[in-house]
Amino acid sequence: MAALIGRRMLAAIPLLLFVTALVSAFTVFIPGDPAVYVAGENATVEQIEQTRERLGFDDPWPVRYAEWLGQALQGNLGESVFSASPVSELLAERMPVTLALTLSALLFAVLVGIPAGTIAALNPDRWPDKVVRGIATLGIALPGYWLGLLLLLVFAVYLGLFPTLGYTPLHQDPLDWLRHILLPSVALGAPAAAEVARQLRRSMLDTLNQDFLRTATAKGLRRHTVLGKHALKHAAGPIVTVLATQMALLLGAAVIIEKAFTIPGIGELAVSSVINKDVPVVQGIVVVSTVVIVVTNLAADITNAWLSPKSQSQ
Amino acid sequence: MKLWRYVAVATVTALVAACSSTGGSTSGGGGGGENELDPNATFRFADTLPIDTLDPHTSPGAGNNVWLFPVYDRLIHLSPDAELVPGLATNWEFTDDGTTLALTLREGVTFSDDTPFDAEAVKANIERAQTVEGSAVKGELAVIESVEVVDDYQVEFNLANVNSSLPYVLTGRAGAMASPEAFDSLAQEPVGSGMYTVASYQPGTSATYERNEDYWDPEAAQAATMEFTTVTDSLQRLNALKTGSIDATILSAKDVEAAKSADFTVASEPVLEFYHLQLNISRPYLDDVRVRKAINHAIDRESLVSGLLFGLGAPAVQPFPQDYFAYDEEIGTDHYAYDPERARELLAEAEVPEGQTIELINQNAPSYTQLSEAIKSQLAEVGLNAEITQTTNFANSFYVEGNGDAGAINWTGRPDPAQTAGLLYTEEGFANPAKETTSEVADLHQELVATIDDDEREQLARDLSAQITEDALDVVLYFPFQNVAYSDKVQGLEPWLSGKLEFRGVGMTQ
Amino acid sequence: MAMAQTPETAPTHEDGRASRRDRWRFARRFLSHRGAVVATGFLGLVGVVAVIGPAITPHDPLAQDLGAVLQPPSATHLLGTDDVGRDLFSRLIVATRTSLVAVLLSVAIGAGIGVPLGLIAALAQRTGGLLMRVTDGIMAFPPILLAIGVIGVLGPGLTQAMVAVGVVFVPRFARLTRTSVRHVARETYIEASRVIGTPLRRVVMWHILPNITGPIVVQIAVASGFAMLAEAGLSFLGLGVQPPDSSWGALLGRALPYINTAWWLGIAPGVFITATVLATNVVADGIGDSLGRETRRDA
Repeated sequence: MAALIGRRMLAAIPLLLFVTALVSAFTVFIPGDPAVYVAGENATVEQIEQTRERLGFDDPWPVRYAEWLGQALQGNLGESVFSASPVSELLAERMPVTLALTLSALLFAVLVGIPAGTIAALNPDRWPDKVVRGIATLGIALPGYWLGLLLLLVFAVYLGLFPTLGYTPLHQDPLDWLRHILLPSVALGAPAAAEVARQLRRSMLDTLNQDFLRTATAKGLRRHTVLGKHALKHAAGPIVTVLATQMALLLGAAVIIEKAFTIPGIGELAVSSVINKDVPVVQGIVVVSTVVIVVTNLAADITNAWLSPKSQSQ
Repeated sequence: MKLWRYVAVATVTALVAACSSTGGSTSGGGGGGENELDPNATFRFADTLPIDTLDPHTSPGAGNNVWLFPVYDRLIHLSPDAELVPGLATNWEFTDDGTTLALTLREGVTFSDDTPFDAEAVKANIERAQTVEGSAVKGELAVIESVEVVDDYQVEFNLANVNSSLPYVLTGRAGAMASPEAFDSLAQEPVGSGMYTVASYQPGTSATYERNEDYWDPEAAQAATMEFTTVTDSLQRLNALKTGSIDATILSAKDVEAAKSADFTVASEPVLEFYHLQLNISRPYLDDVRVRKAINHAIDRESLVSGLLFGLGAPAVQPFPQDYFAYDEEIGTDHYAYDPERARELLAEAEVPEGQTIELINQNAPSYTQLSEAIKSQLAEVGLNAEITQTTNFANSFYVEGNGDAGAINWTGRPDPAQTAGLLYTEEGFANPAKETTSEVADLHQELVATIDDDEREQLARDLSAQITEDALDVVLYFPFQNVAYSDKVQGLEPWLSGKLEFRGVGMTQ
Repeated sequence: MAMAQTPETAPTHEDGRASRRDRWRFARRFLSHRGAVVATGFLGLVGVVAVIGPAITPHDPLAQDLGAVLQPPSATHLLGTDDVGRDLFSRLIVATRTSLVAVLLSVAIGAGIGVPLGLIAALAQRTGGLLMRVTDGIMAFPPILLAIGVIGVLGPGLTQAMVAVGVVFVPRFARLTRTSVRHVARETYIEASRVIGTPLRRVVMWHILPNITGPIVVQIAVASGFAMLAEAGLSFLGLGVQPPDSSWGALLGRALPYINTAWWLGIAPGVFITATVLATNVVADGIGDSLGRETRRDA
């Protein structure tokens, strides 16, 4: 286990280097010039040029990347071009918000998806299965922000049950946190829940049809014992993989949900810094999200190894 | 969270009551018991733009003023009508034929870290603003060659040349005074002498302000606490208002009706901000004044205001709003009446081929796209084919890189007409895509900058406005109203002509 | 931005080449899937509208009337008018083609590049490992940044945006193909045919490709749904179709600011996007089920 973790962590290093270099090269192509904004709205052309020089925008990207990397290796992720705030501070402030949102969405997916998938698998082609499949397919098909806005309109504006914007940290006031996070988690987690339900149904049906379970049933074991002991456990592997994939997807989709609910998370920062070409912030976000994804995949593999010692990672 | 806030407020209030003898009587209206302002109130406001930094001298845009000015007083302030009024300087005048600006400073003011405010502090601030790395105001202050400390409360700015805009410049971030002891950490931990101090700050998204109990104007800060957040979408601001997450905000025209029908007050007034179809006058055909006049005649401003703004705006042809001192009565608002026939005649005179393409640069957001599409359709009526090209950074694309022929965009306004005219309509103007102008406009602008007599200045500003319009350097469209929406508990909030709300005297009833 | 979801459907374990009999079985099973048949019909209808759309609009989709903006549905304007007074119904019809072309383009790019890459990665051991590391890197890359970067290189526009979405799909198709091929390649008969000296190309053409078609077709259907959502997302951020043209996603994005003053504007585009994505997913399910092993439901 320790060897696996160590190997993965080592493998993450070239991945991080590759991804950050790619970002550095890519940002060259993003249109626009942050110096125009940073120099101030009453700036002259010379001042803009001075600003470009000061911020090192005139250097070719490998030079800028090397400089950034040198700093980053010493633990300094640089400063935002616009706010001059240290990138590490911006990340420390916003990443917990996004993580809380995505993890709540994932939790929602598990809490809704697993019972739904199980019920569907136990009643193949009967009405509970049809209902679950119908809702699940719909859940995947709904554009996230559309769902978010509809939820916002109904539950926050018309029914007044939830606030429409903002975020309260969990440690400050758990109840207020829940009020703020519930609707966005549902909007973000709905497609994930649908995906979990579908995958679970499919792999449980596969498992239930396998010979050893037929044998177990034939031997007179009660159906829910079979289900609980064997089918669910066997189906858990693919579900863990699905959840890991979903985590990466949710991080991406959080961009739009955070925008719709005005949640001060990483997504909103990501879009604005990409559009405004705030390269140090973009790099910081990429590093952190890569690490999150690597860790998530690792956690999934470890869980899978634990669930079935024989399973091999692909 | 609420509980904590109450505890904090109660503690602050108790402390204040213990140390201050002037704390009490701050009731604004003096009306009946129901309108009594609550001195412990929290006022929550959602702004339209994110805050970049709390350092006033590196802050790039006037949009940040809303967040900065509660903390930082400027040497000179603007009244709600955009007139100069005393700030940290109680008096200012040009001497030596206008090459010196002498200021008398307010006495007994300290920054919130207890550093005294005096002539040395002014000198330190101006010099910092001119030289600090990343200064966004050094251009505006370039005219100041040196700062001379006459005595503790007298200071003189020696100027390179006469520049009558300078007092207006000093009402902005360039004239913001910060504690010299805190110069290195202003971006995150601002220290000014303003009516509030910043208690907490999340870059880009929110800030909490607490009343500065020692402020020189006890009427200024009526609420004990102010909480600002950024919500860029008007619909979300409206929803936040409806659900009680905020007390006041600024709304787009489309959301005003909904706010009113939900029993919120909406104050709608024109400010210095306007929308225009900016023309790059160095482009083929657009270098011909007849073509520019034709485009002016081709635009149906009334229907733009009624269709896009639901009537919450004022159609205009000159770059200053009605009732403002730089507004020229003779030119009025109807100098270029909607007249497609006249537009076609002018285009024919200038030998513009039917279906001539004009490339419209469009800032990538629904409201600008809507306007660009409406303009495209109106230009098509007179035989011009506008092609819309999207950009995520209008200023860079249109002003710096010189892409496109025209672009529909807003101008946020400046405290002094000479600034607006200088930036939009002179050769050096950053926001002049062509970097070209007419000699008449250039001359009038120079004269305006060099004139310090107030009455002469006003006349020149009007002449300049008329000349810009006459030369059709621009296609001014309309002044959208600033729609300030608030709950019935909010008192003293109204649109500011500058377009940048200040919260002096804003309070909450019980 | 929504990314492509990759339900890594287990590859089919049919023995040998897909035979005509298999194909008949597939058609029989698919047709017995009532939902999938209805969904296919719906998609066909959408396809027809996409082709003949501009000829059947009741109004000029670009004609504005600033005096009649945000009108509710009426006899003249079946779905009301938008924020510059254009007929929404006509715009919706014309936007169908834009949306479909966008989806086809991005999926074609994703599958066209991703599948061959995955094949190479699966068959060439060493290059394969390296290719997969690169793929992992690209997948870890925030898709929004990837998309904006591609749009930055190519300039703004719908085609460019969909190329960007296609690029986001590439690693996902590559991954699925590689996994499927490796599953199939482990089968005894394939190993056997390698042993008896069948050329690699022949093995790929005769044995591997037919057996991985299933999961890839499913993935194409799923990706189509996501391409539509991605187009909507990019247009929501203003990076997609250029005005005054429109797509369903752009119509929806444009309607959102008015959702509590003129809510009907957002309903039709949202419903069409949802219905189309729903249909592609149902079709994907139908194909997946019809290709799979005989599921014994009497268990």
